[in-house]
Amino acid sequence: MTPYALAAALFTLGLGGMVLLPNLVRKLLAMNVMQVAVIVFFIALATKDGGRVPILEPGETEAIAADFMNPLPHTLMLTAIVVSVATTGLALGLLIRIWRQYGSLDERILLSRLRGSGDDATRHGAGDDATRHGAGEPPR
Amino acid sequence: MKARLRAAAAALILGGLFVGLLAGVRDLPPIGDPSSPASTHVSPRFIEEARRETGALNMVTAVLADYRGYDTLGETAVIFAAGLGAFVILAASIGGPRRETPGPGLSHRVDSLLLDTAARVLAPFLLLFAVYVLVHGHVSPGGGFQGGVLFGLGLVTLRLVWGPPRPDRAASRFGPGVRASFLLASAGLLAYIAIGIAAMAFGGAFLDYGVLPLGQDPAHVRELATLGVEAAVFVAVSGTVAVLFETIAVGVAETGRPLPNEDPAPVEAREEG
Repeated sequence: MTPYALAAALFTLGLGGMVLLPNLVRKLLAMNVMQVAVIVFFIALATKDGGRVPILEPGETEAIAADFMNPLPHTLMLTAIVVSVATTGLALGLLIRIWRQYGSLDERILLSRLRGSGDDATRHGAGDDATRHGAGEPPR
Repeated sequence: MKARLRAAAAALILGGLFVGLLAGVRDLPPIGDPSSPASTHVSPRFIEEARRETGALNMVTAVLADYRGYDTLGETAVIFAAGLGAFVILAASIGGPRRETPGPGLSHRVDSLLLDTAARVLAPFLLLFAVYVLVHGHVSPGGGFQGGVLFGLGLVTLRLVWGPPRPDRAASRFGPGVRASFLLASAGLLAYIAIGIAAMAFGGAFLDYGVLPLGQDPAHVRELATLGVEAAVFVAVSGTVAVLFETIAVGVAETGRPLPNEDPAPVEAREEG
């Protein structure tokens, strides 16, 4: 029960953070909290009373299903963790791009700049300049 | 007043969601129940047959790289795509115009004897431990993903201390640039696919390692092929971690708009809270 409640609490916190926090970096962190909720949930599903870690001792050949934790959720979450690292990196890349274009990561400021004054968004213009140049060269 | 109303509504909705989730939890099987649906369909087969069929003591590795090899190939492709995406999003800045005074980002050498010495001592063990985690994936917790992330972070550590690779400084030769990191990541993904196709070439299904001509005992053959797959994942993941770091570090530090903490002007661009 307790791990499920923890997963529910983390999921609620993460969802609330994603919807309510104005700063995009905080939204990203809230999304990571939601991912942790899913991971906790899956790992809780994998446990068995009296089960041990799903790794055999050297020389052990026979295994009975009731003696071991379920390896399948562990496998799924292992890849999920690494995928979440990679997608977080991708999201950070997007945030840098947004910062460069609009000079802010605050949702309210971004929305006002997207709606109205186009001149505000392009005043600094660094992002526009950069797109005209080729991307083929390595950084130094 | 409007903001307070909004906060109250949000609290109400989120509280309702939490209570709803808890109510849903009551219908789930109790934690630790060996006869729960999650533990009764395919997983007993994985537990009881993994040793005989795949030769791996670590059932998680057996499931990851053998039984669910297709899924893992997809995950590796997702990770590679994330690295590629970050690069494409920020590529305009790499090789684009540089700021006259580069910001205090992650992209420059830190001239500190302390950090330099610590990195020299730490780095070999960090990278070696990553390889250990990879090759011990069959008998202990570990494998390609974990080892790959460790190796990638080892590269990032070196890169943080030593700055970007430069031909005139021998000490920086361990830090790959964006291009080398990309080659690593692509090579890993392609090696994974190549192992799958090799199985087809010897008459099996895609990623059906048992038919590969690596020995007589099918379990042993599968063990070797699984290690190959894990190594491919290791290379792909460590390359992707390095790509992500390189693109983000360079994107932040060297081009475009200054960061908030170094920008004296415009006031309206400042973050609130």
